Amino acid sequence: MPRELITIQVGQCGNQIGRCFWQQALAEHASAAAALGGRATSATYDDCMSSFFRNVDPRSGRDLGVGTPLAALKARAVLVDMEDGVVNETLNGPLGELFDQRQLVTDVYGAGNNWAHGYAAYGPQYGDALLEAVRAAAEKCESLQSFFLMHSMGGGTGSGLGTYLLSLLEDSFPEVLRMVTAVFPSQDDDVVTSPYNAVLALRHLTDHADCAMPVDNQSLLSIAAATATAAAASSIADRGRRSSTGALSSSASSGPGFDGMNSIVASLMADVTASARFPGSLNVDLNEIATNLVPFPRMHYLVSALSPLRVPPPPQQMARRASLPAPERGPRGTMPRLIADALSPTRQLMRCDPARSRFLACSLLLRGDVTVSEANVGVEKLRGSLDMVHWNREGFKVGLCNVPPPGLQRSLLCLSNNCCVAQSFEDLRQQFCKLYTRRAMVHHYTQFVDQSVFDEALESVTALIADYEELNTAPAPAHKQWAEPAF
Amino acid sequence: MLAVQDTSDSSLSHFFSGERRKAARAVLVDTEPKAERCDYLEGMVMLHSASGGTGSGLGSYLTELLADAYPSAALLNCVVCPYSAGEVSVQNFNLLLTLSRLAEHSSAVLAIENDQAGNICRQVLKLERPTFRDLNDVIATHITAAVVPSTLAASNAGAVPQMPRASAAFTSDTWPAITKRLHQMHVCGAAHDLCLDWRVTPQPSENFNFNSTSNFNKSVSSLVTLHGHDAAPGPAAAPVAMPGASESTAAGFTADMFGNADLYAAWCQAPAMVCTSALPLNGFERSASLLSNSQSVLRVFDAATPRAQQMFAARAFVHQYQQHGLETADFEAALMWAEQTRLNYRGLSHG
Repeated sequence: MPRELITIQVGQCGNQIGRCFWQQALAEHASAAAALGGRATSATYDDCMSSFFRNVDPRSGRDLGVGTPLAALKARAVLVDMEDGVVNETLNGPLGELFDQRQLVTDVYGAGNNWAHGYAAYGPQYGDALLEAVRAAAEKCESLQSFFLMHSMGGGTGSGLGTYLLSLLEDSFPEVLRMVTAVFPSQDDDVVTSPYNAVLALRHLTDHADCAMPVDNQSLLSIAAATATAAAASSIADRGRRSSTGALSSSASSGPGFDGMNSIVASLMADVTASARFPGSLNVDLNEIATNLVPFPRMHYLVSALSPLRVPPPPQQMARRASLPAPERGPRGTMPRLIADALSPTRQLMRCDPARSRFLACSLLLRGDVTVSEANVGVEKLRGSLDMVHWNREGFKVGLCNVPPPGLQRSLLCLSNNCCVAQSFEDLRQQFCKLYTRRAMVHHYTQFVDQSVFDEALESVTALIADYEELNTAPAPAHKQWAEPAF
Repeated sequence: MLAVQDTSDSSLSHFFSGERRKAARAVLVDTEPKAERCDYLEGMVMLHSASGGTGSGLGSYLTELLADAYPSAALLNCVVCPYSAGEVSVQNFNLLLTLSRLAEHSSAVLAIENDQAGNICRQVLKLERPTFRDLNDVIATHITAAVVPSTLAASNAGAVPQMPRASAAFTSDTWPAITKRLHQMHVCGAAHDLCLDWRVTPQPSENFNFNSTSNFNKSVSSLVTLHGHDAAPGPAAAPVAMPGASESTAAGFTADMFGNADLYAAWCQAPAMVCTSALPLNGFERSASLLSNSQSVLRVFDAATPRAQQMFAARAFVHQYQQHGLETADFEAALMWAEQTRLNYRGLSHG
């Protein structure tokens, strides 16, 4: 039985990603249902949908069980923003029906790019309302598995209120996994205070999340650009034999925008949860990801990479796209290619190069038409080429989910707990220090919090970097000759 | 015979979590009426894995409960050991924690190696891309061969892991051809009869040289079962004693062949048992299966123990077990037990 996930989107960035994510989730379930054949299943609320959606009787407002015809789908989500623009946009858009008022926590003023405002002012002010909204969503779950928080680290609401919420969740739902997708600011971020916000938030992410998947805007932008190019190329190649290239070329011509970037993050979240939602021969639920990839509680940052590139169709094309036949298996779809792509530095959702650093653990989540033995062969090849930490040389976790993302035959999400993430944190720390040595902008924060939080956050990130560095450089103990089997 | 099957999804080892305790008790309550319907409850078979959380954690806990509730019934645990190449980061922890618990509470442990099942699929059955279904079929065949009814009392092997040698399934071969190959599998500790190394020969214990690179597989005891309509001398399957039985029956020369004292540790008295069953197994006219408590189980321990030791030395992943109430002392105990068991099995070769 699939277990439920509650998505919590905080701040402008979180809500924009959330919107893309819900579009994608709907499309996935629509195409999964279509793939089951033209039976009535397409209009039935099934087990797979129940992990993200509720089926509500519009008249009585009561939840309907699995197996009932689709009435009104409601997302298991809580939308939080202190500046209600994006949330309102979502509500008034095509996805508006997915959410109702009880799922929203909004204000109109915004946290002004100030972590402290979000954390220390809005946090206590909206704490009860947030918990109430989360509790209401949790009560509608039979067996809640995980919270999925999406927020940015550089802003005020997402980073401040998001991390405040994280510790609330830890206190109130200690048994429920806390997964976080955190968008880190890029080097040339336009928010001056973003290094402050990110480092201050990072400390709470380190202390209170179970698993965090950091992504950064720069990487997203370049992947989105590559995706647009690929889409353009494939639409040119396809023009001769397929007529419905309009969708593809239009997305290519509009260039990589926020939507392109957000949909990459949405794909990431869809793939991470795919095994929890759809059947597969080797299911990996979120608990298993946390178990296998987090050797030490604070070192829970998972670098992610998707292959192949996901060409995002515009929303109005979603339904049509879902019914398109999957493209034939091209060279891009072979296992070695999928794996090679997923390890390439250009495909990482966080700016780093895992193949050149030490892995603490690695997870390959495959979707679509892949057999156990193919996956094992792929892992076998990787084992020789990657630098795995000596006490976890076999630390590959493979997941196989039968249902591919819409429009693809097979896909791979590679999650790696890799020491290279320390470099990104180090860059962030340096930017933080550049500001903090001059105590620039600190007065905005001291309105809300004591200045000591800066020092504590700096200490926390420094310790985290040191932990990763130590593992990255620690040599394996002198090879002890274990007795060979004597029989 | 009562089979306790564990089919729920797997997650982290929750040895002591309250919820799992409840689940285990529910199974126990469920077992009771079934056990009461048995005229004579000879034993129970538990099928579970040793790498995941539910199979290993709940499986071990349940074993303790069942052993407690039915002290007179033999409890056979068929444990699927993970691919040595790795399925789960914490598989070696889970495996050793499980086996150490089972050693204490189970009557016998049938260690089933995924690696060997995979080899059988690829090399014997010539499946290029074996699926889980194929692996499970192979494993099920092995378990069937091991527990299929024979007239012998349950082989209560005590608290040591036991190793399914292989249920060699041959076609219309003659008995000598079948048992000869099975014998060599026994000698080599091989899981199937292809690519057998015929140069390996039984070594008497006192001549055993510690530095020798012999691949000879020393055993504690073995149970050979012949399945086939002409296997049994009489209409009913009957246990055939040790050497000395008439050469003319299949069971007779099998007993002679497997009765070779060099196959077993020096201190073993009457270590070989031969059983026959008139019912053909798996559609083969004649087949033979071997269940042996031997050094080949070292494959599992040699793969898992050093890895678990290294991981524990780094204290990696340990926090996840501590969340559920396990302490480092539990790890130390399991690792010590594993190391001791390795030594014990190694020691079979030396007098």
